[in-house]
Amino acid sequence: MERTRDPFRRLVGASLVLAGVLACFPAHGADAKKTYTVAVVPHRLPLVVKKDWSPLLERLAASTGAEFRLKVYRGIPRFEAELMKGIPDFAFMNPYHQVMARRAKGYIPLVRRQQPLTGILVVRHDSPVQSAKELDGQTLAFPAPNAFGASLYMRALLTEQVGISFRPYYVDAHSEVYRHVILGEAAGGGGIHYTFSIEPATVQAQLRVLYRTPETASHCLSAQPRVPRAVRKAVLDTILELNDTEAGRTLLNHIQLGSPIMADYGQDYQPLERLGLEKYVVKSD
Amino acid sequence: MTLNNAIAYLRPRRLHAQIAWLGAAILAGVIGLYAWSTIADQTAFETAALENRAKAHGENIATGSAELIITKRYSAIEALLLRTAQFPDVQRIQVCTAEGRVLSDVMRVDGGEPMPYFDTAPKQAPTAPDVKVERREGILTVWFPIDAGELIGWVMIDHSLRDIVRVRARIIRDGVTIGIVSIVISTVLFFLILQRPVRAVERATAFAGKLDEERGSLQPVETGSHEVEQLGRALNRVSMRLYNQEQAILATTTRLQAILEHAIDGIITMDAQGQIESMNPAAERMFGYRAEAVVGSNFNELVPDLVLDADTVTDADPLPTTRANALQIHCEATAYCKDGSSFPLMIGLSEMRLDGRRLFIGIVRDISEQKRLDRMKSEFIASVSHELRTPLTSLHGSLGLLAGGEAPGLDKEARHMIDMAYNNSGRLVRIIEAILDFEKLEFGNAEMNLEVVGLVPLVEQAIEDHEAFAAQHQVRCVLGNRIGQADVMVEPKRMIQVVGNLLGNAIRFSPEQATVAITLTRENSKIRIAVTDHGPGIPENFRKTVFQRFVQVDTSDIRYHDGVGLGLSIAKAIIESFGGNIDVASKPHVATTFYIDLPEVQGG
Repeated sequence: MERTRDPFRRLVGASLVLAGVLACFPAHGADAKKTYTVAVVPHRLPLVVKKDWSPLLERLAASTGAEFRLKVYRGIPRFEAELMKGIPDFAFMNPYHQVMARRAKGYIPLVRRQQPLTGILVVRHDSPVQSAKELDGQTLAFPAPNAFGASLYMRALLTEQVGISFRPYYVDAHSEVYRHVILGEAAGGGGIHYTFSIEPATVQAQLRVLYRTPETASHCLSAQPRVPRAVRKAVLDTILELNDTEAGRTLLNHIQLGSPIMADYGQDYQPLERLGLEKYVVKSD
Repeated sequence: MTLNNAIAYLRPRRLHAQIAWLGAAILAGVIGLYAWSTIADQTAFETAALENRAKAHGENIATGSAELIITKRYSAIEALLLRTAQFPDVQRIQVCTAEGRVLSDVMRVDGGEPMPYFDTAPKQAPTAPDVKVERREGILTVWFPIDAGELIGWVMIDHSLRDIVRVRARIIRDGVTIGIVSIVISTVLFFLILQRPVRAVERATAFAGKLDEERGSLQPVETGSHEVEQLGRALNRVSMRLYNQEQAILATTTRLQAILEHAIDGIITMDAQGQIESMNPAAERMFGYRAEAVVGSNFNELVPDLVLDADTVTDADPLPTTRANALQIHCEATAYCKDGSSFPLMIGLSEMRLDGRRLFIGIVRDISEQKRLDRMKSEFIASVSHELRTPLTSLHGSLGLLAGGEAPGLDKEARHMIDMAYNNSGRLVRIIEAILDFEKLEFGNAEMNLEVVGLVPLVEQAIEDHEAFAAQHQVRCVLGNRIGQADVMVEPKRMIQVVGNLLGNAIRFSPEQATVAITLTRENSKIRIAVTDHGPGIPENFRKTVFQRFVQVDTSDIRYHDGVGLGLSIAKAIIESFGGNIDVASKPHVATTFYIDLPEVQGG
């Protein structure tokens, strides 16, 4: 028996095939317009942050085909607030922010600096204070309540290990801590070794390191879990490849990611959960 | 080395070098002025611009740091200062509180990157909250107030004036470079353009330098430049003219030399003091000296009577060179020969100027022979006159007796002839007596009995003696006495004779009804007797000779034969023997005045 083909059925069939083919090729224009936000913890001046991070974002855009928009904050509280809400797609944050962000929104650490992070307590170079104990009852400057090495961890250690009480005084940025100490606004101040080392020699000469925290994993660049795995991998690979060139190393040094290595939450940051720093965390509104 | 010596040493003497120097100096001056003007303008402009920049920086920092000061964001302030300090002329920026406490201090050391500095001592901020600009060594400082409703701080910016100094240095360097290049180019251009004319001028200069030796020679004329061409042609003309003049002078000199050599009269030149400078052969023969022997001697050694010195000829009236005969002396003197003998000399001395020097030319003539002949003539005349006077006196006396009627019976015609003979014999007697009288005066044989007497009576006597003669000619004599009385030393008879002679002449030549004025006046210490008539007068050419012997004025207007022409000569001899002087002034047909000047005797 001769089988007659129905023209309508043939048209529907062709349309379905075409739709399937089109579906297999995602619209290139729609993918190119995808924009990711990159938040940076504001422990340095916004202008400096923008200047240092913009080159990396351009490299990431080039390597991934996506757009990356820098998000700069005027203060750590706002940064923390948005981080806890999971707003930024990527975030460069301190170790304990990573712990908090992991708990809140599952942020995944991608890459960190190989060198460890060390918190320091500085006083004026001509200060009569010779030990942290002598700062009992004094006003101490910190960049922000939840800055990890410079504030959170330091305040916990000063309280629990050194055993002193003090009046914390938050000045938004590490560089402000150092200058407030130099100008006598505070008897001492918390910072980290890295930010201290990149201060001008004239600033360093005015300060003396009085106390150091134990070493921990340093700041990391983390990704919101909603960011596709391929994009996360592309970002990680791009940063690791940058270390192969002199220009790339210079760029990474400026953003506190010199000698980058892949970060692992369980190995690098989970131990911090056991330090019991929660009671020193200041919740932002 | 003094400044003048240094300038003289550096000043080039060659024309092309002077032109190059002048061009270089003018260029250097113009470029120097331009550089100075540009430096002044540019400095003012750059300073104003720097001030404006500094104020703008100050305002920016003040605006940006007000909130940061309040919120104590010191590193933000520092970052702001560091950014501003990137401007190349910013040396240092400070932000301090209103009280002067330094909050941030950014400074550039040795041109390096600006760095923050601390430990800065508190500042002495301005008292008034106004923008303040200060300038000290190489630094422009601007104070800008930070206002946040009230004064909360100050921005102090030090701007380096290094750029202004650099601009000045660049202008000076460019000016020097342009100056050197311009001078080199102008020198080369001067050299190229002026090479031909300058060489032509140098050739002309060399030609002019040899003109004294090569008069009459000609040089090729350079036609490339109008002035140089004219100079060349002028030098050639001068050369030819010098040659022609030299030839003319040579001819004239030869002629004059021949005249000097062959002149009969001696010619002697001497200076104002009488030092003899030259003497011609005639003078050599006259004095018996060779010229070489007397050159340098004084003329008065030869002619002691004539002393020529500075007092004789005054310099009060300097003479132009061309006026040769300013002073002329003609006189007789006694000269002495080399052998000690003397001889009478007539000398004519003329003054002249030569090369600004006052010289005298003496023309001398030995008048020994002339004197001898004069003496012989006078003696002859005197002898003849003397021999004639005795028979003539006798003849005149006899004729007088006949004319007086001593010989009766003579008819009228015979009597008339006797009267005529008597008158003419009388005239002859007067002529003879005049000749003898003059001869006595001339040779000093007349005795003069001088005495002090009143002059006026003598004059009045002479007028009275001529009243009849005046009446005969219908002429009136009028005495104008303006001296009152005056004493003179004269011989009264001779004085009356002289005045009478002048009166006689005046009456004789006056027209009828005319007046002869006799005027007595006093001038200085002399008494003047002036006799004025209104006759035909004495022509100009006769005035110099009217007092000479045997001279009578003889023109168509004046005819006078009643004399031998000795009256005025005798008058002159008499007056000169009184120490006086006689002369005449005449304007023909208007007035003629003979005047006698005599020294007045005081207290006589």
